[in-house]
Amino acid sequence: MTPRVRGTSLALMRGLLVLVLSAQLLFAWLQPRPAASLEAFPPPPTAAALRGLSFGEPVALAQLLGLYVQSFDVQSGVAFSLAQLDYARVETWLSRLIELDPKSDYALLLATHVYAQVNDPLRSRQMLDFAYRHYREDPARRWRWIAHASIMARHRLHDLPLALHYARALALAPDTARIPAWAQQMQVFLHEALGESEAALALLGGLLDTGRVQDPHEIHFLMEQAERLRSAERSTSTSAGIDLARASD
Amino acid sequence: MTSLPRALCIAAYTVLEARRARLLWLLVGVLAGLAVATGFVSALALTETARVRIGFFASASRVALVLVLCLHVTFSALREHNDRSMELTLALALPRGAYYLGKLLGYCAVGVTAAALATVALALSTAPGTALAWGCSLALELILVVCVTMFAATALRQAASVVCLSLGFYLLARSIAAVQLMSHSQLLDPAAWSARLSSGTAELLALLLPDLSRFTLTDWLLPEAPTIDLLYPAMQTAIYAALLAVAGILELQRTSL
Repeated sequence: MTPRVRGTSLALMRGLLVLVLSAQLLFAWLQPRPAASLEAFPPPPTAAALRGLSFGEPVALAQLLGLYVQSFDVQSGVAFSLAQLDYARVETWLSRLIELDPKSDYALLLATHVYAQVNDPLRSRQMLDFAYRHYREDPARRWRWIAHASIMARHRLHDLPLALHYARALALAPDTARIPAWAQQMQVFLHEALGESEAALALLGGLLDTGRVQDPHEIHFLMEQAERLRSAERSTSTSAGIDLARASD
Repeated sequence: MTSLPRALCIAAYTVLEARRARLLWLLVGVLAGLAVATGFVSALALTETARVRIGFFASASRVALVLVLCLHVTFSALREHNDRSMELTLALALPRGAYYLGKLLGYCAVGVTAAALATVALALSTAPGTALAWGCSLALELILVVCVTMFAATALRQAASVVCLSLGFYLLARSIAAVQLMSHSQLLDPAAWSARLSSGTAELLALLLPDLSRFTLTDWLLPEAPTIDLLYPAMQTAIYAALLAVAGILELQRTSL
C-alpha cells in the first residue's frame, strides 16, 4: 500500500469513526432516562450469611450495603417519601451494617439524619430508639448520635420527656466514654424547659461538685445559670406567696 | 479477490481454531457444571424451586460465557500477534481491515454458538419462545464483549490489560443505569463541585456506553414476565459493534507491525 493510499484510507476510517461515534451519542441521548421503580424493600440476609458473602471483607461489604440501603429510597425520578418504606426492614438492614462494621457511624447517621427525618412521629421515634439502643453498646463512639436524637426529640417531635431520657443517658455515661461537657449538660436545660427548675439546679450543683468541669469560663457560665435558676425560683415562690396571702385575705 | 471472501476465509479459520482449542467442549463443560450447581441451589430452595432454578442458571451462564469468551478472544488474538502469524497473514495480499473483520466475524460466530448452547440448556426448563428471545439477547451481548475484547487486544497487546479493560467495560456497562441514578441522589448537595462532577461523569459515560442492564434479563424467563424488548439490544449492538470495529481497524492500520 502506497503512503498516499494508506493516508486516504486512514482519513476515511477516521471520518467513519466520527460518524459511528455520533450515531452512538445520538442513540444514547434518545433513550429514556433510567427510572427507579418502587419495589418492596427486601429483607437482609442474616449477619452470618453476610459475613460469608463478604469473603473476609466485612467492612467493605458494610460500606457497599450502606450505599445500597441509602440509594434504595433516595432516587431521582421517584416521587415517594420515606414514609412508604417498611421501617422494620430499614432497622434490620441498619443493624446488619453495624454488625458487619461496629466501628462505622454510617448506619447511625442514616438512622438519625435520614430516616428519622420522616414526617411520621412514630417512625421517627423508631429510628431514634434504634440509635439509643446502639448508643448503649458503645457510648464513647456513638454519643453524638444520641445527642442529636435528644435535640430532634425536643425540637422536631416536641417531646421533652423523650429528649430528657436521651440527655440523661448521656449524662450517666461513664467517664471513660469522654463525652463532652456540653452534651452531658443537656439534661439541665431540658429540666429547666420542663419547668423542673429544682431538678435542674440540683443537677448543675452536682455537675460543678464532681469536678468534671475544669474550664473557668464554663464554670462561670454554669454558675450564672444556677443563679438565674435560683432567682427564677425565688420570684416564683414569692409570687406564689403573694397569691396565697391574697387568697387568704 | 475482493475483501469480503478473504474476511470470510479468516473467519472460518478463526472458528476452526476455536474448535481445535476444544472451546466447544469447554463451553459444554461450563454449562454442565452450572447445571449441576443449579440443581444443588434449587434443592436448597424451600419454595419457588423452578424460579430459583431458571434465575440461577440464566444469570450464572450469562456471566460465565462472557468470561470464557473474553479470555478466549484475548489469548487467541494475542497469540497471533506474539508468534508473528498475523504478520505472515498480512504479508499476503490482504487488507488489514479485511483481516480484522474476518477475525471479528469468527469470534462473533463463536459467541453466537455459545449463546445457542445456553439457550438450548435453558429451553429444557422454560418456554422455548422466551428462551429464544433471551438467547438472542445473550448473543448480542456476547458480540459486544467480543468487539470490546478484540479492540482492547489490538490496542493494548498485553493480556492482563486486555482482560481488565474488557471486564471493566462489561461491569460498568451493566451498572451504568444504577450509577446514573445514584449520582443524582438527593442526599448529595447539588451545588457541590464533587456532586456535579460525579453526575456529569455518569451522564457522559451513559452516553458513551451501551446499557447492558437492558440486555438478557432473567425477568424475561420467569412467569409474569415483562414485555421482551429486543429492539434496543439489536440497535445498540449494531451501532456499538460498528463503532468498535472501525476503531479497531483504525488502530490496526495506524500501528506499524
